[in-house]
Amino acid sequence: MNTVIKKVLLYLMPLFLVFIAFELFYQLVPNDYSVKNATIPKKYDSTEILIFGNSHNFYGLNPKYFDKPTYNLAHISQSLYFDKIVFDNYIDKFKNIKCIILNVEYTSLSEIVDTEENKWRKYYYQTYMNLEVPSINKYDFTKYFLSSTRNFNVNTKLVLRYLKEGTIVDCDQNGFGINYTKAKKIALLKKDALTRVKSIEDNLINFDDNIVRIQSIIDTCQKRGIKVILVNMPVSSYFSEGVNQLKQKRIQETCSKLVRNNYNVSYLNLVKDKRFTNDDFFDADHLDTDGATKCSKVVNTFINERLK
Amino acid sequence: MLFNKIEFAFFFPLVFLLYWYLFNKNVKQQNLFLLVVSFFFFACFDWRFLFLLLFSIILDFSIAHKIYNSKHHKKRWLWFSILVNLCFLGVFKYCNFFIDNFSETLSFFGFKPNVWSLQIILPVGISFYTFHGLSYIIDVYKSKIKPVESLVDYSLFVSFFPLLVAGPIERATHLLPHIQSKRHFDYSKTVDGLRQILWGLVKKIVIADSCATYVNLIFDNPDEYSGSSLVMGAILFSFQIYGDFSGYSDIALGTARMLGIELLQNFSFPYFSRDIAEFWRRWHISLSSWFRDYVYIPLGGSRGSKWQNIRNVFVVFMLSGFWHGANWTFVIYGFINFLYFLPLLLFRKNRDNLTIVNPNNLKSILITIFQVFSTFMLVSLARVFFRSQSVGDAMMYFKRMFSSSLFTFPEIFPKTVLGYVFLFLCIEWIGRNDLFALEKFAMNWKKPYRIAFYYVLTLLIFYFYGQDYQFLYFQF
Repeated sequence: MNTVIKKVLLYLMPLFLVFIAFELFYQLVPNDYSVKNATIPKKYDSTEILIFGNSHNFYGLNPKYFDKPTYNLAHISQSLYFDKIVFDNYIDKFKNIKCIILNVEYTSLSEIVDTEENKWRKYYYQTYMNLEVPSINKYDFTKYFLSSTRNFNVNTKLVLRYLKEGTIVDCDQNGFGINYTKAKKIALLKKDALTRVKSIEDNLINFDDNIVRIQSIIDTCQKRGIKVILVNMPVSSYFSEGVNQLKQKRIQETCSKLVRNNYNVSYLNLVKDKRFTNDDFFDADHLDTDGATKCSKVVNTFINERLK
Repeated sequence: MLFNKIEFAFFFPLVFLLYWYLFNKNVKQQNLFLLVVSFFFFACFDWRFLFLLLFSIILDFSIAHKIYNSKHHKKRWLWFSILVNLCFLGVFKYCNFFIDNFSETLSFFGFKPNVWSLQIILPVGISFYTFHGLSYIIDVYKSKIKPVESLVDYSLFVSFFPLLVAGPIERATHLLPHIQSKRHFDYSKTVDGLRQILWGLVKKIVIADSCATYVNLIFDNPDEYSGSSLVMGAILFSFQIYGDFSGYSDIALGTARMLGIELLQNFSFPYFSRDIAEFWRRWHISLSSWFRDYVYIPLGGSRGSKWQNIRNVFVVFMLSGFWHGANWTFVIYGFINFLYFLPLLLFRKNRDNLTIVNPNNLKSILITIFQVFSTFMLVSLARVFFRSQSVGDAMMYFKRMFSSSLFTFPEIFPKTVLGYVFLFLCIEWIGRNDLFALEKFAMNWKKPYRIAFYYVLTLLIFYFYGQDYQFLYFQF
């Protein structure tokens, strides 16, 4: 018995060491989530506009170009489920919020709770941002071992990136994603759009669960006198033409209905906005940093008109 | 708690240590401890279904005694137990299937039924533990075994955690003697168990999960790919389901062996089968033999006329298909396999290949390659029904597959994954005479090379870990 234990431990020792090294990396090296968690408290008193949403907002709305103090609380693949969790956690801590921006669009309105991305990101919200995530089981051990949420390959790549660049943080002090620059832009936008359209298509047109979440956010904002701006972010023409038009139409109708039913809600649809050309995009459906500047100014003007 | 998750990597070593160090005084202690951890393991999926499991255990335990003690009503008690067990399955697994089909039939005849569907969650492992219970009751009825005196022993037989959620489907005659006798620590069995767990993890994480990525891509959008890619999808799915299910079985068998309990072998290198009859003797053996012993033989087996024999085989294949799930796709899957089997039965060729393939000259090698390949392809094609969400989806898949694009080079040709599958098959081929491929593989190598080989496998598991695909057979 003791021989088996000794031999197994000896055999697993190098792997344990690698595992511990990865785990230390995850616990000690700052990432977007931990940086935001550390920055947010400094913004509680000053921030007037909060941006929620997924990568479209994370990379597409730069608080620097808003007239009022703004903070970007969006994250890559942040679904409406997590928007609500983040919103519920922070809204009372910010003292002067006048307006929030939610992105309600093709990739978010039909999104289910446990998407492939959120199967591992949910642990990040809980660990780095101290959020209560109901989709994590009480007895789920994974939450204590973040390196086990990603495969060895991804862990190695992250460590190598850190060793090469000295950071794995992709956002600035305002929470804005700074990594999608023109220099790194994807060359074949049309091809990328075809792949992206396929990969994001969930064939779901039932928005009920997410509408409940949005309505709950709207109701809370209404009680606090906060404006809610629903934004459908710009995408490249290849992407907007490739998606299911019927679903796109239903999303717009849903947003319009939310505007009709709630006096504090406005809707800004930028999907096919002529002010944006394919040159503004990093890939099929994400603005690059220059495109983000343009978009932020457009949204800023829209908000200023609503806040008059 | 899944076998391929981090929780199990903490759970099992803890159980192992406590079992051999603390609860090792006598068989009662060993069984009680295993029962508690088995219930805990089951409750981790959904504690509410623990009550269903307990009810099933107590019912079958009591009825077995009734059958044994009754002089005139044995049969009545037997049928009562069978009916209650099948009712559980019916309600939790097949209820909506019957409601939907009833509604569709009425609609076909012009009625407009106002039927509803129930929001029923399928309890984990119900198909497996129900069959455990049934086998026990039937064996007691047939006086093959005496009813167990200890409720703890019987409960452990039904709910032993390695086999609770996805088999193998054990027999009372096989497992109960293991449970009722004290287990002693055995170094070689423990190491053997570790090797089988390692091989099971390779099958699941390296082979099945890698194939799953491409299988999902192809089966989710079959109209986007050429016929040749769809053939590739069907082939990859065959490796996915084999790696997934036999990987699970290997982990279950290895885990049980480390605790001193031998479970039934569930897979015996099915993809080296030379005909479909051999395939079904090597694939999900515990289910096939269950149907053989409790359905096929009671129906008359191979005795009686040819037609009776065909009828019996037909019933077994249809039930076997339907056991997998409440969907016509599984019924058709069973029926296709029956059609494959029929010529062998008619020409009395179904027992030609009883031992594992062992070609010894060029001619037999060539013939074997042809037989093994054609059997594999037949199985893979039938599995399109198994994988598709509906019969319509499967038909569309076939329509697209057998189009002119069948003769083009597939757009999806995952070289790396196919490379891993090839290496995997090589190891399986070398170890095909053993209980599992790694049982004696590399045993005559020098120790450093052997350890290095195991290390490569372990690193591959770590490399591929995190793809997060559930075990396919959990849904059954």
